[in-house]
Amino acid sequence: MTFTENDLREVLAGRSADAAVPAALSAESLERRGRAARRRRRAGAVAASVAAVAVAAAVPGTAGDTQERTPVLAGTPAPAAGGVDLSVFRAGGEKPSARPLGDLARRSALVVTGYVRGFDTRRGRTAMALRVTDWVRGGPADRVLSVRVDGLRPGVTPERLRRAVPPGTRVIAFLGEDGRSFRVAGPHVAFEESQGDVPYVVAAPGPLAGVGDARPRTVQWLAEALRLRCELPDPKGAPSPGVRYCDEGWLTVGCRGITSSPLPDQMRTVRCRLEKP
Amino acid sequence: MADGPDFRDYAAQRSARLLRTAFLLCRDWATAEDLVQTALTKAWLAWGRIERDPDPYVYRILVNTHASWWRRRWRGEVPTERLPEVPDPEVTGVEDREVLWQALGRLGRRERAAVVLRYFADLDHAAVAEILGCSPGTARGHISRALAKLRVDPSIAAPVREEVQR
Repeated sequence: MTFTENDLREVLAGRSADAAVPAALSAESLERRGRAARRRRRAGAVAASVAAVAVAAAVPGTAGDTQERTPVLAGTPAPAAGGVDLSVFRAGGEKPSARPLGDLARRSALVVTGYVRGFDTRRGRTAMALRVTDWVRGGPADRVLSVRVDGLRPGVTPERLRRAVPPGTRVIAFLGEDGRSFRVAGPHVAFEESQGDVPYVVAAPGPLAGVGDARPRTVQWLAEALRLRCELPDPKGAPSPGVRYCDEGWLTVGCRGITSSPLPDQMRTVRCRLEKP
Repeated sequence: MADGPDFRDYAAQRSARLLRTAFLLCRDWATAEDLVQTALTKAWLAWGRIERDPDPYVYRILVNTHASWWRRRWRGEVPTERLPEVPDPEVTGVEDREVLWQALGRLGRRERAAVVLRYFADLDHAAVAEILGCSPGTARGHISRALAKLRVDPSIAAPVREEVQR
């Protein structure tokens, strides 16, 4: 077999011929990424102090009304400035799934909210440690779950994933139950977008269903993530007996209120309306 | 950049070519897209400082970013959507090209970059050297060594014929 330089040229040209430039390489998209990178670079210097302030402000009773507090829970590390880089997912930050989140929630064995603690690279690129803060559906189990994240674009490495989803990123996870091993389809994990440039979670056409042990502010955050308006009668409510049921846009949330004295069930249960603004 | 092209025009015109170059460097389309995206984003950040043809600058970012990913990235698992290509022996030349493509994949990172820049991007030795950050003689050496490796590659029976250097 004899090759010339022209053969080399033909092989190189032929092999790369079927290049299709994706939308992510459009000038507008690149400029958006560039601006985000510049913002991250500038924000990096003050990220540590911002994190400290955010955690302090989130401790119940130390800062203002619940609705005005930052959604970061006490003890939760603040996400890195710049938010989540959604380009690691196949959905690319666009509409994550054709299925409404309410439907996903109904089909899931567990629906939890929490935040990312980190990724265990020794166990494979998709093992994400998820610190659970609230159980929206399903019974409580361990507070830290090892979650497998699917839906990544081919070639995404642990380092890339770790950079894309920094510790402290808040997550809603829709999980199937399989012992302690959980499988999460990528588009089914809803990440909070701190910058709000690319809304990963679009308005869900269906209502959110859930039974579990969610706090009112978690419900509020869920509603925000789903781009729904949430009216909580008692935003200062303590951890609730549960988000009971949601039907046609109504969530029934158990709220104990700020008093420690036991109250009748009907008084503990409030309803909040979730609707598209 | 006062007299240079607008970034949007440049990205629109060159993205496809850069994507092909990136693919030849890393041999994976998804990584190639990431590579071009990262390179062009870095270029955008420095666009105001580029005073002449942006191509060498962007090529250099591309090669250097690929090099840094090569060092840092975990490569224990290479997900792929398709099975490895199987050469079709019925079609003349395809098998030979497949053998050559596989042999190119066994070249070192810098040697492969030099070959891609020389034979795909069609740059002369001086331009290759500028992008790789070495002297023209070293760039020529990379290309020579690459061809020599191809020459002795076990899958290639006959020697690679080197044409007259430009």
